Amino acid sequence: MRESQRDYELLFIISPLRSSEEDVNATMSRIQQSLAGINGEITSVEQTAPWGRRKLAYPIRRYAEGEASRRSFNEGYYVLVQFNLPTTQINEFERQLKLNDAVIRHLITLVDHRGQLAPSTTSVLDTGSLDDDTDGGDDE
Amino acid sequence: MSDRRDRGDRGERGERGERGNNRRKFVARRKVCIYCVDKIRTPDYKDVKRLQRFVSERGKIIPRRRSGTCARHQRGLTVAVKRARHLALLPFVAANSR
Repeated sequence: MRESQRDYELLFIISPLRSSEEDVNATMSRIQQSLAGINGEITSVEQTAPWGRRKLAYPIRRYAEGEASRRSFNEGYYVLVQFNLPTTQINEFERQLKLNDAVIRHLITLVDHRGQLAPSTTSVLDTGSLDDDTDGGDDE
Repeated sequence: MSDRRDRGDRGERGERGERGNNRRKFVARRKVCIYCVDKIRTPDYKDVKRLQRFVSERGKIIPRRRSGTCARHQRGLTVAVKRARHLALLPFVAANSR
């Protein structure tokens, strides 16, 4: 019943090792491309004010390129992206996000237009750390 | 989100922090859900400032009976806090309290 385009919101964290300006741009264009490839469209990007480079509330351990063990990161580069995408493609998009090793964490939520923001229906999944899959609350 | 089921079922809303003993004469300061006051439909995980008020020093989610949020917003709130934790906007556990 939920076919066609929907609006989503993606917040993701880029590894601090990749947060130089050009690396960020590279990551962004990669995301844009993967969206474009599946009929998605970015409507807005925010990486200023509360986002951008920011301290993490707890260290995140991730494999860094060329290192044998995970390295723990204390800060990251946050980017908030609004986009729309056919609902059938969201899994594909998420898969590509996971393959992107500059992205150390991400969250995709549906944008609620009834009120102002974010309903409870989401697809949350990343590296299996916390799956609070919150469905069912959206019919209120 | 169901982990604060302890302490029996006193279940009053509205008071702050009054626990232990049995009920005595206690004039509850009626607390109001700030999400209702601010007319926010669903708590937002990106709104870290606001979420922080609903999290203890240790990083635990504060129960409704203490924070005064209404049931509906508390439900959304727990989700928002968990999302914020996932993105390292809020701690899972804060060892060094503020």
